[in-house]
Amino acid sequence: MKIGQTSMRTWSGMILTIVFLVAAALHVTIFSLSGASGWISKSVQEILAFCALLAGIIWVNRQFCFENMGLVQKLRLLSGLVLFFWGIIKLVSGAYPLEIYYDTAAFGRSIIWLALQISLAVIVCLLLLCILKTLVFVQPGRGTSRSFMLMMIMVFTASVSSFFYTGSVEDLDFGQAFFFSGNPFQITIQIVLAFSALIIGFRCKWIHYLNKTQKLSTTGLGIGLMVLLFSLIPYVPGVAMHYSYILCYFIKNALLVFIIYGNMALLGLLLQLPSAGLMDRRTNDIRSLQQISAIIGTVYDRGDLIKKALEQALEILQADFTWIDLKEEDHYSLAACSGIETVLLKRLETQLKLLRGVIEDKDEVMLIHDIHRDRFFRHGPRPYLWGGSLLVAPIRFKHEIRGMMFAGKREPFGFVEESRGLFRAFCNQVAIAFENARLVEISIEREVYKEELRVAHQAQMRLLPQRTPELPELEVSGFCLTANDIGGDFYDYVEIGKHRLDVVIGDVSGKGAAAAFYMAELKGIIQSLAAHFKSPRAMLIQINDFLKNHMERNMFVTMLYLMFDLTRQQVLVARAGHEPAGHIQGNEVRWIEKNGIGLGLADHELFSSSLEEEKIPLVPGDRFFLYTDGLIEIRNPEGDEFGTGRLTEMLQHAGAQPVQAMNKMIRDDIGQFAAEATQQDDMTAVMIEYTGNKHHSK
Amino acid sequence: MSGFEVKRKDVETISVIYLKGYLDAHTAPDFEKSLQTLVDEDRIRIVVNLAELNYISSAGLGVFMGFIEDIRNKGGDIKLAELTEKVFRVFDLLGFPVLYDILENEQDAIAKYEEG
Repeated sequence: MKIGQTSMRTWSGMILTIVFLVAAALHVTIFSLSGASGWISKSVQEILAFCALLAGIIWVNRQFCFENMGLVQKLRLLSGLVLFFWGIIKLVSGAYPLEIYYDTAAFGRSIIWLALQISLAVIVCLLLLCILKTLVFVQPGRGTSRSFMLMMIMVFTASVSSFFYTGSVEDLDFGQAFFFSGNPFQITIQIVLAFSALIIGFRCKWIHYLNKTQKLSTTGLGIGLMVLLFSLIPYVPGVAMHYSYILCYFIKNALLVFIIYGNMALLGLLLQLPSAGLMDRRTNDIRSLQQISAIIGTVYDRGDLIKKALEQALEILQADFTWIDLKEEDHYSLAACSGIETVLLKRLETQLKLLRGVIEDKDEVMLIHDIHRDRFFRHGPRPYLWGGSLLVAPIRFKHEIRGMMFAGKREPFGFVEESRGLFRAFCNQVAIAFENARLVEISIEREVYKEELRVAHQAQMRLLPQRTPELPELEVSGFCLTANDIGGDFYDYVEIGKHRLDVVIGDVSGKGAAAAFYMAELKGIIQSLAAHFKSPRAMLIQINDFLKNHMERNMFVTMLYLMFDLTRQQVLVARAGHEPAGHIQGNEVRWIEKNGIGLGLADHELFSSSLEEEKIPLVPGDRFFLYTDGLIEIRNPEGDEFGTGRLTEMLQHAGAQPVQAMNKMIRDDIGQFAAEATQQDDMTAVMIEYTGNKHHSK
Repeated sequence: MSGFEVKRKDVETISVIYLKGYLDAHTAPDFEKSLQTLVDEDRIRIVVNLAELNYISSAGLGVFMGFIEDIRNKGGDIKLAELTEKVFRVFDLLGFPVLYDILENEQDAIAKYEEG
């Protein structure tokens, strides 16, 4: 779409140029054939001039032909064209003095050259108008387009109105008054034209884009060009008037526009010259800061960041030396320096400490014009290569000072007052970059930590039984749902021969890594000792002895130990502080609440003296349900606990379904109860059914 | 969850600590701190009133265990009083009645110190 538009513009421009050239050629031909005499030929010629001019003016209004050219290049081209224009007019008026008009033969001979030169002058004028337009349209306002259009219409109208000039050429005043000559209508139009050119003259925003030197050179050049243009005023009408009123007036009107706009621009330039230096510095500062954020913003490594910050400080402030002190827990330490020796800074530490204290209190950029005369350094050591001027600013993020940055020059009074602002902004950028780097670091660490947790969780899950034991007379099913990545619940099976199965469920107090360690340890103890013990009680006493010696005092383990002896058709149950096991017979649930203290809480004597064991003969269809406290402590969104009551009821009504199905039912029911509430603790349960010998018979 | 509160009352040489709300891994440090303060002040005849305690987790129970040995070695004790049924169940399951004096009410606990 855009490309299409551009080519359309180019085409229309080319067509208009061709029209213009054809008209000019015809114009010249007619002129050379008929000479200057004859009312009809004169009229035809003026009509052609009219067409050519109309085409040219429409072209200028449509075309932005110097759009992609740089400002300085435009100004150069403009100057060149003005010079060229001046040359043509001078040439025309020199080669064809006014007297030639009276010598018809001579006039006829030189008419082709005259026509060519006048046409060239008109084209140059159009090109100049075109450049002028691009200058006017730098940062255009709302009315810019309208004003320019008005001006172009006025140029055209004023030029065409000359066609109706009735007086003779000799009557014209070829001085300045020529600009506003003719009948009252023409004069009015010319005044409007001058006025519209004046309005356009205020559109000089391009001046802002010049730096100080460019402004100076443009001013000089502009004055020169204005002198040239003014000098042309008496020459413009001259012979051209005899050639074509319309074109002559067009040149004159264009000249009027150039002079008015040129003077306005010169005025603008002159007004801005005194502040040009300051403007330049501001522009530079802004550019530097943008550069910093672009460079620093992409560095996430702290070390690289400090290095870059030092480099940039040297460049932007044109400092000779710079260093950064970083603050950690109220203590500053040198992070890096450039252009200055570390040893030197160490010698100045006492003075620098005082200085940093003051800056922390005042929270502003400090500019020391002469280090050796400054109150901080006057009485301190004067190491070799130390002196000049110094800028100090805090590197702060939000309200926290993260460090301090120093930049210095070897000569006193090396920095101007404005450097403070720049340095402050610079340090703010550095602070933001530091914060970014810190956040990136944290997020990487967090990712690593998450990954480690995941690995730990996986390792812990592998500590749980990986397969269910396959004994002919027992059916077993268990599950463990962890609330955190690392939980404290566990269960395990130990198969000893074909006729014994130990089922253990436990809960290590607390969660996290410590709990997981104990869990791993307990699994090891149980797996290795189980075969040597014939009673759960003895097992638990052994484990307690082991834990009591080296477990932290505020940690403990609760455990439930069931030893199924299929030879004797009995189960031995011992409980060390754990939730009791449920013995289910049909729809009757009995909680086996024998005494026993949690593991790791009491010494050998107290623990063993209070630990009881129960022997239960096994009857086919007997079920045992083991669980951890997380199961009954789960809450629904209203905040009610699931509780032992609900659990008992659920087990009573479970019916005679297989243990896997029953476990699934329990999980579903609890899930339904908790609804959207989050699980606070691990939930673990094991269900064992004694099927008797019926499997054998199958 | 509802909050947790620790209050303290000194009765002659005995200090009573009142626990209120939920004592779990998040609130245990508060309780730990108040016990530590008592130990630092050498006020080691302690009664913990649990009348308003709604819930205690294993981390909460751990706090008692963390201090009891030191306090007993110094000749002091921690006695528990006025446990609700629910909280008592947790203590009971874990075998605390064997390890600690658990009394019906605060006065009995204080009186028990005065006896012995």
